[in-house]
Amino acid sequence: MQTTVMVKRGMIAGIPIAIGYFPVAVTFGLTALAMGINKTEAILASMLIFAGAAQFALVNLIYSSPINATLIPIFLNLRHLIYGCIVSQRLNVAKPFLTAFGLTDEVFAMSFKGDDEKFVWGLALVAYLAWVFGTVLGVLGGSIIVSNETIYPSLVFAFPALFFILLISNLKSWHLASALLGGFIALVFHFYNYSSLGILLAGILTPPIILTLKRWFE
Amino acid sequence: MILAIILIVAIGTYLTRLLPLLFKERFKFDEWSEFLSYSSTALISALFVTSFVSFPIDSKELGVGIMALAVVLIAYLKWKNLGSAILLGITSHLISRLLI
Repeated sequence: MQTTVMVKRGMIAGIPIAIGYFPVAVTFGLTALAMGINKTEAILASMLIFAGAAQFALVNLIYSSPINATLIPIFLNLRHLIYGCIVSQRLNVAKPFLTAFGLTDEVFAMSFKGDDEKFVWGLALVAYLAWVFGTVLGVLGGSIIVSNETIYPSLVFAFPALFFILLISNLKSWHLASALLGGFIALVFHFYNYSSLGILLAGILTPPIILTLKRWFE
Repeated sequence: MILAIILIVAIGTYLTRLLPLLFKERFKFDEWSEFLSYSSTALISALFVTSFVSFPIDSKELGVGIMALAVVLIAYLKWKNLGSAILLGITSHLISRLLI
């Protein structure tokens, strides 16, 4: 199928991601300025890193501990190693240097809706534009969106809604147990404010436990 | 200094995304397919839980979220369209927050 058609499909499918990214990116822009980072640096962070949790960790730690501000964001993104393994197994990745850049949590999750690398490019492109544009708006004064206590949580609801649909369409046989266990591991770590570590461990610990249980019961 | 940190984090983040794609030939993924299949379900579940629940739990927020998720589920089962279901969910979430 033509590249442009697949990219367009990806971009349309990625609109819910963009809706969710936009207010978070505005918040990042505002937070970065509040933490003493200048406008250019905040926008560059979004343009070059393109990873929400990592960027928030970076701006939060940059003045207290530059070493932590460098290492912790990278550690937070270790879960992307698993995403890459899964994507490279599912899709024929001909341009890894391009595909890799946009492989965020949400793009990874939504990539299951397509079967072409170019679909992922479309998802990543629309998500990236929302992320960078949101950051620009944030540093230029997007406080109206972020301070609106009614609109903001509803826009950010796009994320759980997206993950929820992707989850329910995948709950067959042992995948239900996998979802429950993975969700439980993540919830425990989330409670103690180690959400990224919890997500990483959910992806690593759940499969061997499920495979062991499966061997016992079948 | 700040620019250097941003650059290092950007390179580190990019490498975590790139390396598995770049060295896919080195791994025999067929042997790992079942493992990775369960891993992807667990990861999406983990992403859902961490984006939906926030501590300390606010029962009103949680109730609004659950109602909106029900709308998302019904809309998705009816139309099988992910984008429409999410947009409807966002709208119902907003209306619920205004009403409750």
